[in-house]
Amino acid sequence: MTDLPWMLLVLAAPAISALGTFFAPGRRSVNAIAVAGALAGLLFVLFLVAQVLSVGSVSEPYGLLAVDALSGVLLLLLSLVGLAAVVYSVDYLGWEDSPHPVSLDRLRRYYVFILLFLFTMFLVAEANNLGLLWIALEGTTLVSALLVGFYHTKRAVEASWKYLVLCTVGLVFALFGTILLYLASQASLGPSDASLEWTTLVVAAPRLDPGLVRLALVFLFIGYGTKAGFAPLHTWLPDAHSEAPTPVSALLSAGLLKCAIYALLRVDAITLRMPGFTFGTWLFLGFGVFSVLLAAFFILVQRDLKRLLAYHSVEHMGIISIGIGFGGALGLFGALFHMINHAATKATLFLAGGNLAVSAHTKDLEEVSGALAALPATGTVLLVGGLALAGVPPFSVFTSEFLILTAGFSGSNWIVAVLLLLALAIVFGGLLLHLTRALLGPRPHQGFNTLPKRYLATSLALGLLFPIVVGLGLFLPTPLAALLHQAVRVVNG
Amino acid sequence: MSLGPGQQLLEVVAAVILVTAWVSLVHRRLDALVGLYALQSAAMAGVAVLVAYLYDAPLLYLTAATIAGLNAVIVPRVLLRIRRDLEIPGEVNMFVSVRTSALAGLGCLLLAELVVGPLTPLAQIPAAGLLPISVTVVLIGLFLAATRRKAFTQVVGMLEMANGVFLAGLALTFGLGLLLELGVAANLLILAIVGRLFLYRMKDSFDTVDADTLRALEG
Repeated sequence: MTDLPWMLLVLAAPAISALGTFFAPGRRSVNAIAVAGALAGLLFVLFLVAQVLSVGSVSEPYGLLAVDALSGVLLLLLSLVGLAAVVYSVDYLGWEDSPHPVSLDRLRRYYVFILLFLFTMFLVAEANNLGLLWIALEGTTLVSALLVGFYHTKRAVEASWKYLVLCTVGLVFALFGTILLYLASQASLGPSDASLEWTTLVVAAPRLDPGLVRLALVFLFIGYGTKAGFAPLHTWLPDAHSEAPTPVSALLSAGLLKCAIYALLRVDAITLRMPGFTFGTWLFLGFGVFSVLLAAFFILVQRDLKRLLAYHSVEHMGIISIGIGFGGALGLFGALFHMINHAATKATLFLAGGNLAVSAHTKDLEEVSGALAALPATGTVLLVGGLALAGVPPFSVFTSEFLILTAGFSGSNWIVAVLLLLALAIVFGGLLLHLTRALLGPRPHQGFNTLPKRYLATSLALGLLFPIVVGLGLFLPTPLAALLHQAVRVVNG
Repeated sequence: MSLGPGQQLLEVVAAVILVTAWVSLVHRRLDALVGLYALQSAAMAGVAVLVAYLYDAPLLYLTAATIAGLNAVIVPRVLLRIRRDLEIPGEVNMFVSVRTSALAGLGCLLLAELVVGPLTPLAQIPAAGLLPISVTVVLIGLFLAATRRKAFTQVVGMLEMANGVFLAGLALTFGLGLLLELGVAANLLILAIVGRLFLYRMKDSFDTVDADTLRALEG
C-alpha cells in the first residue's frame, strides 16, 4: 500500500495539468501548466522506477493497476518523449508569433488533448487488468484522433478519419481476443476464479487451453498489430504521422506504437509460460519480417519527410517484433532496448524535421537542399539522428539492432536474421540517399529565409533527447541496464 | 443435451441479432440500417437479461440497462440526427452488389463456424453456442464498414462489430466485471461523439460524407 502514491501521481500529473490548461487565463499560464504537468510526470516516473528497481513490482489491492520493470521501461520512454513533445509545442504553436499559431482557445484544447493522450498511455503501462489495458488503448485512439485532425485541413480530416476507423476496427478485434483470453482462464480456472488480471493469467498460463489462446492471439495480433503499425495493417500510420502537428507525430511514433507492442508483449509473457506453445513467437517473427521488408521499399520512394519517418517507424516496429520473436534473454533485451532507442531517435528526428519544415516552408525532400549549411544546429541533429536511425555505430540504435541480430544468428532463426539484415541494408541506402540530398546538397537560392523567432523551448526539447541518441550506444547506465534485465525476466519468467 | 425454455429463448434472441446483422447487409436505406442497429442492440439487452436470470449473474441486469439505454436508444438517435443535420442522402451506396453482400453474410457465418466450432473447451460452457453468432456479427460489421461508400455507414458497421464482441463477452464470460463493462461502454459513447465530430468536419471540408472522396493521401 505504501507504494500506491507514485503510481497514482504518475497518472494524476497529466490529468490534473490537462484540467489546469483548460481553465488557465493566458498563453503564458497555459504553456507553463502543460510543461509543469509533463515534467511532473517524468519526475514521478523516475521515483516509481526507482521503487520498482528496489522492490520488484508495485500494485494496488484491487488488481487493476500494477507496475513492474516492463511497465517501467514503457513509462520511462513515454514520460521522456512526452515532456520533449510538450516543451517543443511551446515554441511550435504556443505563442502568437509561433510558426503555427493558434487561438488561445484552440491552444487550450491542444494541450488538454496532448496531456490526456499522455494520461491514457501512462494508463496502458500501469494496467494490470487486460480489459483495462484495452480501454486505455482505445482511449489513446480517441484522444489522438482529435490531435491528428487538429489542423482541420482536408488532408488532416482524411488522415484522422482513416486513423479512427482502422484503429477502432482493429481494437474491436483486440477486445474479442481479450474476451477469448478470459474464456480460456474460465475454462482452466473455473468461473469463480476466472480473471483478466495479468498477474493471475501468468501463473495460470500452463493450464490454459492452447486452442483458445491461439484464436485469442490471432485477434489480439490483428487488433494491437494495427495500432502498432505492423504491415500490412499499417496504412493509417504514414497519413496520421504526416498530417498531425509535429510534436504529436513524435508522440505517435515514439510513444503510441510502443504502447501497442507493449500490450502484445504482456500477452507474449503469458504464452511463453505455456509448455510447447510457439504460436506467438511465429506471429511476432512473421509480422516483423513482413514489416521491415515492406517498409524498406516504401522508404526508398518517399519524398515527404514525415512520411519517410513514418515508414521508418513501420520498419522499427518490425525490428522490435523480430527481437521479441527471437526471444531469449538477448533477443528480448535487444527488443526492449530498441524500444527506448527508437523512441528517442525518432522523436528527435520528428522535432528537428519540424524545425527544417518551418524554415524551408516544405516537407518535400526533393525541394530541400543544403540544410546543414543553412541551419547548422538543426542540420547536425538531423544528420546524426538520421545516421543513428539507419543503424550506424556507435549510436544506440546500432547497439540494440546488433543485439537482436546476434540473438537471431545464435539461435535457430538465421533465415529471419538474414532477411532482417537485407532490409537494414536497403533502408541504410535509402536513408543515406535522402539525407545527403537534403542536408549536404548545394544551398538553394530561395528557402531557409525564415528562421524561427523562438528557439529556447525547441532547443530544450532536442537537448533532452539528443544525448540519449548519442550516449546510450556508448554507455548504458547501471540503473537502466538493471531495469532492462528485470523487464526481460518479467517477460521470460 | 436438451435445452430448457430459458436457454431456448436465449438462442431465439441471439438469432434475432444474427438476422438483423444479415438484413443490414442487404438493406438500401440508411434510416433502416440505424433501425436495425437499434433492434439488434435491444436484442443484446435481452441476451444480458436472460444470461443474468439463467446463470444468476445479477450485475448483468445493470449491463442490460446500459445497453438498452445507450446502444438501443441514445446512439441510434444521435445517428439519425447526424443524418438529418448533414443532409446525408438516404440511400446506402455500396462498392459491391446486394447479392454479393448477401452471399458474403452467409460466408461470414460459415467462416465463424469453421473457426470456433472445433474449440473443445467451449463444450463445458452453457452458452457456447452463441460464439459463432458473435463472430459472424463481428465479420458482417467489418464487411459493412469496408464495402460501403459513406462514412456514416462505416460508423454503423463499426457499431455492429462492437455489438458482436459484446455478445461474446456476455454469453461466454457472463460479463467481464462491471467496472470494465462500464469502461467499454464509456469508450463506445466517446467513439460516437468523436465519430460525429469528424463527420461534421468531413462535411465542412469535402461537402460530402462519402468516404470514397478521401483519396488525397496514398503511397
